[in-house]
Amino acid sequence: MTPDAPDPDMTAAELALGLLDGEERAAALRRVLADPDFAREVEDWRQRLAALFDDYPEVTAPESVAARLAQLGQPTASSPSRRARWPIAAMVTAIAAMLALFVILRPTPQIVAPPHRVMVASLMMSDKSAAVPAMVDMTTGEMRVGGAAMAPAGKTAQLWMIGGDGVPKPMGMLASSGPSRMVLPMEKRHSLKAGVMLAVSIEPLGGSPTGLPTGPVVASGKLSLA
Amino acid sequence: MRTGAEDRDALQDVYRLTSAKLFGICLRICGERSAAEDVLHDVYLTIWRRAGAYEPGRASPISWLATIARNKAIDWVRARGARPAHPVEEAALVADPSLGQREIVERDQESQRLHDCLDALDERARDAIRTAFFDGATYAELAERKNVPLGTMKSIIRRGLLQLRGCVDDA
Repeated sequence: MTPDAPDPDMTAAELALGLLDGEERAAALRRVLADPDFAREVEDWRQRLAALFDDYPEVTAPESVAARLAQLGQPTASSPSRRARWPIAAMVTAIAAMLALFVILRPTPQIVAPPHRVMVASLMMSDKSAAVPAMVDMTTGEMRVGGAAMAPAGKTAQLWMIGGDGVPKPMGMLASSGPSRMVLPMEKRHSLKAGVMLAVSIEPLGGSPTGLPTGPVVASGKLSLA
Repeated sequence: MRTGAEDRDALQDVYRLTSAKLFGICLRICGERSAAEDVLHDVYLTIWRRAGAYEPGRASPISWLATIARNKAIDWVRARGARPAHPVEEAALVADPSLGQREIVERDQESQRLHDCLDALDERARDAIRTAFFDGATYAELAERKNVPLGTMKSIIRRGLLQLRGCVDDA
């Protein structure tokens, strides 16, 4: 590029970085709403730059903030009803579960090992009452699903994966109470990738007799890279 | 059946796992401790109220939380209209360098690629882009700090960003 060439249009990056102010910023924000391609470009830049978050030094947060947050969820006149708040709390739980996994999987500096690839899904209950976190460690094949009592007495909740061929494949039974843990065999691990649907159906004890879901699907969600 | 106490526990877990990183972001951008504490509190209130807006497919949870913290801190600085004189130095004084070191070791591949591509930029562009990100500085503030005309600062950064995108996407 010669010194005289006009500057490239980098508005999406400028907005993502926060370089713009005043009317320039307002115009870029209007463009996000009006132009889906531009909005996607801004999001792409956010994702590119997210790696820089690593470089902010960690600073121990003051106890006082934790104490103020502990007041949350106490019944007050202004708090939303339990019904409205429930799925939100479930999402907080899902985020907490994913972050916990992050911390466990991050190697200490002495150990030079490839990072474990982790896939996550948030299984939304069909009645939208809650979201159940699910995680697979692709290196060890260990799969965990958050605790949720989905099956009525005398039935069992069975987990399925539905890939590109659209055919549900059984992955295992979920515990009747508390979180579930299973280790997936290699061939099942290979077919898990971003975009694959996980679903839970209600089946007779011991699992679906046909190898395909026979009961109602009570929760589902797509896998993505953590 | 979930209880209010369980909900609070979940938020407390998120706080325990993420607050040092998010406080580091707030402190660096706000440049003063009491403001950073208020912004941090506001960040977790937002997470509590807007957790339903989190889409697992789009960004890692920590990036989502860090983006909220950075945006809130920038909003605070801009609403106040003026920036502390030495935001970087002040935040650096309270930072724990050993934690920063550990994180550098833990960079994953994607992060390493962005850092390599930033290193490939000429120094003025790299410095300006990093300062824009870490301090949440605008074009006008960067031009003033570096004592160059606004148009020159825009050119440096735009060309740097174009090169950065090409490098990251090609790798």
